[in-house]
Amino acid sequence: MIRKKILLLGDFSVGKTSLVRRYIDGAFDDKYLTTIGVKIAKKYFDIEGVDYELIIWDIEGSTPSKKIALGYYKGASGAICVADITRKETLEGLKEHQKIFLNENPKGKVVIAYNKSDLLSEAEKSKISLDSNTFFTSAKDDSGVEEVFLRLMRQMIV
Amino acid sequence: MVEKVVLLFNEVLDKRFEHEGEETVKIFSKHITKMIAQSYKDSPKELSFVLKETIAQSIALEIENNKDTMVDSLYPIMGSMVSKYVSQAITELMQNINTKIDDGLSIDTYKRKIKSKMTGVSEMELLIKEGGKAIISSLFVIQKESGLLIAEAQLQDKEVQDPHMVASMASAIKDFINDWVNQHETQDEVQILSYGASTLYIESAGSVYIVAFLDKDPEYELRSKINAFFASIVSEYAPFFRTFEGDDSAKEIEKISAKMQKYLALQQCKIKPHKKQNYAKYFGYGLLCLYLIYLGYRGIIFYKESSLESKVMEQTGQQVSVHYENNHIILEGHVSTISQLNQIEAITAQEEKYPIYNYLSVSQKYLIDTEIKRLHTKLRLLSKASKIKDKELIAQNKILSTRLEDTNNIINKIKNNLLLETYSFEQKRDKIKMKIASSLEKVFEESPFYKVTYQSLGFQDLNLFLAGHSKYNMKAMKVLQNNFEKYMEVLEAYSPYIERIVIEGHSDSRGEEAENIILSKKRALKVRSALLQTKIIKMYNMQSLLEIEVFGSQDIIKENGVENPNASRRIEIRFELKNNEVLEKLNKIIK
Repeated sequence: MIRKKILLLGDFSVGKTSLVRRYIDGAFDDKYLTTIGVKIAKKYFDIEGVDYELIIWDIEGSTPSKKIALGYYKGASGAICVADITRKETLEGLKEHQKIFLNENPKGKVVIAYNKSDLLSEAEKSKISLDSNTFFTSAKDDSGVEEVFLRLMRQMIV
Repeated sequence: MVEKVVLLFNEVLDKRFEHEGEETVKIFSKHITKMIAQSYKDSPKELSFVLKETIAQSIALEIENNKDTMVDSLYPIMGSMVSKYVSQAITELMQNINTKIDDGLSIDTYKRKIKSKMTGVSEMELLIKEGGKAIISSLFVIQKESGLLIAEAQLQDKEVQDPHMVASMASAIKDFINDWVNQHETQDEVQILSYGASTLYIESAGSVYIVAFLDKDPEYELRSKINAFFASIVSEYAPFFRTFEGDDSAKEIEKISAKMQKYLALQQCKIKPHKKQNYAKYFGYGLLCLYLIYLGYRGIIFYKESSLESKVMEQTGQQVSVHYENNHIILEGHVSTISQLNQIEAITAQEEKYPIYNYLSVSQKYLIDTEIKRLHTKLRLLSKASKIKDKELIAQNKILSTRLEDTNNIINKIKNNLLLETYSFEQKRDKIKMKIASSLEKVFEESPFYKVTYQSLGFQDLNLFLAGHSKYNMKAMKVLQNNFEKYMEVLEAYSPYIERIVIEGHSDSRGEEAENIILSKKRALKVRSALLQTKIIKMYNMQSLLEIEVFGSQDIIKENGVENPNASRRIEIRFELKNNEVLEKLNKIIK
């Protein structure tokens, strides 16, 4: 089995934890998240006969009073940067998260999740252009979650 | 001139160094080592002073640029150095403990002192033992940056659930704390994380760190051991750790895990004997094992017994009981026949090497029936044999009867012949006897000495001998001789037929019979001697015919019922014809 560390990055309350809660195969209790700012979860994949296990570091969104420990970023092979599609400032924060991640992991892969997409109408969605590494996701209706992880996974194993 | 040349040479050399020409470097490379060695020999202090700063700067720069690689390389050395200093610290710590013990006045202190005196173990060691050693339940080697678990080893029954997630979490906690610590401008790394009864001891080295999960804070000695062990792993697998990308199929992981597992196992072995409370547990386990072994043994015996019984039942149809006792097999129960008894013993002997005690019993009825059958069989055989013998006997009897008949016939023939012969012989003999008697009657016509009936001479009235004496009377003897000569003259004519002339000696009945016999014998002998002197005996040479017979008082002469002793003391003379004896024998045979 091949294990990879990936990060779940994004501003406070963009829905990172909710996004993976129903998707993962195991996780530590949420209380650790509030204590040290990270929650560890895992997810299995079988891609072309090879077993993979993603160790997902669900990192708490930073606030002015609480900075994320840089050590969390180190050694990650990929990151899912999450934004709340309904909150503009979180979309702007995506670049900062990517920058910090890539600074620590220059060879790391990144995919973007526009979360809470269930709150947008299809018309609103159609006005937003998405590239191949960007996805609408919704923890509520489970849409786009698997696609985000698979995309990141495939990028990492290329 | 020389100075100018030297200056010019120096200038050329400087220019060549400035341009760092490859040729120049090659030329100087050949000599630079020798030059440094020579300088170290000539002036070591000066050389050290010159190189010191340059080398220090170079190392500092190298560590800055390739921190992890340098740490990986230096960690084992540093580990040993740290261990050395830690050991020194422990020694100092123990000295301090001893000082404190000496100062203590508590009851426990005195108890410890007594125990130390009795066991010979120092109070310091007892104090440390009282605290108990920390036990490592798991060892994780984690990649420092990613927090990915590279290798792990865990004690049985104390396994950490989902070690990969735990490793990541521990890594996150460590990163969190380190980040917090570094914010306060210190370069230290977190080493101990305690939560409740659990402690994580973390030791970093280059690209990895080891996490030891313990049940309490590790003492200095244990930390030192963990560090030394970790150093050995890092020194061996540093290149692998640097290139690890999450693939847990690498062979190195297996080797590291095995090594760590062995370390844990050894630690367990070393710690367990110190735990006194475990003795009872081990004793219990021992008893349980013995009981289980006993149960197993009984089970095997029961299985053997059952299988033997089944086999016996299958082959003989008899239900018997088989027991194993003191390396013997005991067979018990009832069987119908002796052959079954033997068959069961044979089956048992075939299955087992142990000696067999056969206590199987056969029913009385069977034994009696068998005996009756045996007797019947014997009787039949005897009857057959008897019939055969009967036939043989009958045949033999017939043969014998036939032979007996033949024999009887032969005997009868012989008998008849004999009778005929006897008859003719007797007739002939009687004729001779009659002729002799006739002749004697004529010679002794009126003689008182001749007895017609017996054709003999009897001299009872002659008083030949006196009573009790054998000496004879001469006159009487003369008479006797004369009569004898007359008698013999007759007989001489028939001498071929005369067997013998018998002179009978008689006595009276007085005195002992034995003496009478002797006396009558003497008298007969005396008479015979006198008769041998007669002419006729001599003339016809008939001496051999004269024989004596002695009668004692057997044939005394009685007159009117009273013995006449004078008559009894007498001599009688008679003759016997030849074949008289043969005739007697023939008569006996014929009878």
